[in-house]
Amino acid sequence: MYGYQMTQRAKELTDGELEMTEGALYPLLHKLENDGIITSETQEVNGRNRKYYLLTQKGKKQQAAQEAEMKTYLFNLNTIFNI
Amino acid sequence: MNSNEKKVWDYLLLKKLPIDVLIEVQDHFMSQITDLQKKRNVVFESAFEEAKNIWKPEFKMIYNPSYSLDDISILNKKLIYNESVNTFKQSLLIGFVILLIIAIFSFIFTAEFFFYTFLLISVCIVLFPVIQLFVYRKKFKLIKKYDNYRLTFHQNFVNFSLVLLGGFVQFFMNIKAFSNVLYSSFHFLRIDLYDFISWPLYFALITINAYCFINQKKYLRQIGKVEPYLRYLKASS
Repeated sequence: MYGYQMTQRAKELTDGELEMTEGALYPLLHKLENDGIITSETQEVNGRNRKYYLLTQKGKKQQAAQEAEMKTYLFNLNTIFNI
Repeated sequence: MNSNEKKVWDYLLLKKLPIDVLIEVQDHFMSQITDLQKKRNVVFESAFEEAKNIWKPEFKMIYNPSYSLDDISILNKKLIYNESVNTFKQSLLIGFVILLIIAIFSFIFTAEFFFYTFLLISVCIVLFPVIQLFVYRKKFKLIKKYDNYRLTFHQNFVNFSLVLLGGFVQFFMNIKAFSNVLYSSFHFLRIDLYDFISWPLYFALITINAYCFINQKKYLRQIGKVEPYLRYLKASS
């Protein structure tokens, strides 16, 4: 995915609830790339260079771990609220 | 680059973004403008104005001398901070690893052989960035050629290893004494004022040189992406 596509996808998936600001997006992407969580490759699209970001193996592992952690957290929260 | 892309490019140049980031932000702008044009059925100029407004908080220029002596955008500041912290962490890690290797060598080798390995490691530390600078001198010369722009974030410290060479001459003139102090302190034969000076000094020399070397590597990686766009920039020399 490329930067703009990410902002639009996040908006679409959350019905406009989550709006990623552009200024927050690029520093975050560059930080994740430096940390080896994501990697990037440039492709030419419509005569312009477009930078695509992809999850690395380390990133995939971290995503799975954080997803599991978040699900447990939401489950616990749900349990508390349903008492 | 068509005329609309050129308008965006010129606008982003005014915001003093490094060119490698500018290329990415320009693509974002163009995608955003195309999207706005489709959704609102407006002409390019109106969509461009709207995109500028969306980005306005990020392009607000501030003065912060710890980042730049010129005015700098908030987006630029955030990116520089991330990049500098990351490179500094990597340099510290290299510094610790080299120091650890030297410590291990002091226990494996005799004092004389330790001196030769210490000398070899120190020469490598000094020469690696200088050799890299020489081998890719054409690429590094672009910094001077386009010194009215910032080509990448990493260009500031690439030549610093040359500045340090003067300091290293002094170090190499006293390297035997340095080696003896390090060897003795690893073996707990002596702990005095020299240890407190030579250890941090040597560690600082490794870390600073590693910082230059990593910046050079990152610069070389990024400059390849910037080179096709140099024709849109005005060379200063």
